[in-house]
Amino acid sequence: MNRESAVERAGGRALRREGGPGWLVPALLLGILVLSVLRFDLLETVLGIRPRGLLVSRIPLWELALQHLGLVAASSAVAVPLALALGIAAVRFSGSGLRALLVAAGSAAETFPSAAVLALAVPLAGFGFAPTFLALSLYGMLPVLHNTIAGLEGVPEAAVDAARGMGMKPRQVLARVQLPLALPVILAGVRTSVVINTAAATLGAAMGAGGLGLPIISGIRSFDTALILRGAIPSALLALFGDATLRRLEDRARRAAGGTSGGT
Amino acid sequence: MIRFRNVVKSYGPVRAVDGVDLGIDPGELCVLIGPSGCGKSTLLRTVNRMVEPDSGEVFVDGRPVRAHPPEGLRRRIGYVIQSVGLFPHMTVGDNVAVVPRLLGMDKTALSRRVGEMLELVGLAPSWSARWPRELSGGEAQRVGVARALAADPPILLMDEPFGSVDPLTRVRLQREFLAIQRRLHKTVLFVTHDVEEAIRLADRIAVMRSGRILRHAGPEEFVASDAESFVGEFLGLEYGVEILSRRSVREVLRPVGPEESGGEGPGDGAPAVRADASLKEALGLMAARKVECLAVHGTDGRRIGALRMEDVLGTWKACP
Repeated sequence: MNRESAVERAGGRALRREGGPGWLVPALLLGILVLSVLRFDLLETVLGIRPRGLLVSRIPLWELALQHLGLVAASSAVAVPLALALGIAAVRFSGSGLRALLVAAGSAAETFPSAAVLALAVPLAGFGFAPTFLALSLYGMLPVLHNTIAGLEGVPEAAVDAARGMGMKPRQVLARVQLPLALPVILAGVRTSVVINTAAATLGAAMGAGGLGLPIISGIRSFDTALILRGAIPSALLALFGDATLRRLEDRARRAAGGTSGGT
Repeated sequence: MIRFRNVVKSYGPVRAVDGVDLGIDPGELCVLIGPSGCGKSTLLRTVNRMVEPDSGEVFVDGRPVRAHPPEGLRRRIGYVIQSVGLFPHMTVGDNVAVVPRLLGMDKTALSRRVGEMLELVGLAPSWSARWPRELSGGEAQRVGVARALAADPPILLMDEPFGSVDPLTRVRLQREFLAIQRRLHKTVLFVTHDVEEAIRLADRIAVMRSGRILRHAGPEEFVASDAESFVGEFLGLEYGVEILSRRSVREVLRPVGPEESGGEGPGDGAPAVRADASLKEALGLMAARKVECLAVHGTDGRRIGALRMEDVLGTWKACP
């Protein structure tokens, strides 16, 4: 019709076209991660360092990485759906005080250091996988819960009003309008949760949960920087890989939600 | 078709709707007008139970709306809002299809319906593949109207539907909507605070203030209302000129005839107006050119008559 909207329209098309090669970064990171886990010795040769061997674990690095991944995946698999459900309930029954309670509890819990949460889980769940899993699940819920509430409340009121006014039932409004539009924000919360837990899971080694924290803790005990790097570099790469992958999903959800492609 | 009986709705100490009685006949376009905060939107939203009255009763088709489950009721009432509220994650076609889909219309009927609706509001059916973010404000509101009409509801609720588009687009949308309404004869409750819009569209106007209907009458009946009262003040003194926009030059022109070919008609130099122009536009042209007489041209550009100022002003007496 008029020129302005034609320009906007062209912009809209360009927006949708991009994003094809966007999986390159996650794929590259995955490659580097796998390589670093299988052949960390190559990197050590390049850097000219080698652990002194006092406390080097007999467990191969790839096995520690898998333990680490398992910890993060298991805790996220519990934390994300639970937090999503709580967030939806908080918004849906906002009059009941549940929202205020959850937001207050969530903010208070966020100020708690993850190390303290892990330490507190030990008397509850003993040593090993269980306390770490418990603490990571609880801790991982916070960003998802926070973003679910913010995302749902950020859905344009006009869209919700129109949806209700056209005769959608509350559940249909949620499934067909609110959740698709809130999804980018919710996924940003999932990304934060996964990244934080990938880092926090290294502390699990102190609880006997294994994972990439093992070489880090051993390295700290024996003042062995090279050993610390053996845990630190793969776990950092794992976090970067998780971040890049979820960021792609987030961009995709943002385009599907009809907004502009956000961020970098 | 729609009837309000002593409807009251309070928000805290404020009585947003304060005992409204109002009836809207089938096929009538009733404009609810008043200053912002007068309760007109609240009243509109009681019809589809988006707002539940504290007391009183709203009837649709003789049945109290309370007797219907809200979702079922709303699917049979078209709803257009100022902010349009298109779903940004759905294509234009999917937006239009929302209510028919809720009502379980099958796929082939659905896509045909979407095409028909888009054509009805002046958009090509191919637009159904576009996204809301690609639309201008006016285009988005056309889609909003198409969406509200998609399930062919007998009633249409419109809450300042053209309030956020530029004035030129607004007038075009009003014209097109009026043409649609002349074809479909929906029962329309239309909320606005724009007097010109009310005059252009309304079969009847209800003026509202502080939750009450002050006057409910046909647009031409308001001219006599007391200029001192709130109604007169709100409608403004220019109402008498604005109302001329409802009539066209064609209705009062003096045709070119043999008896007029003498000296009475305007000379060749007289400013010309088209027969389908409104009397308001004709009066504007007279005022601008400082003449009392205009030549009237048909759509083909040939002179078909003349218009004198007294014809314009005299229409009041002709139409009580």
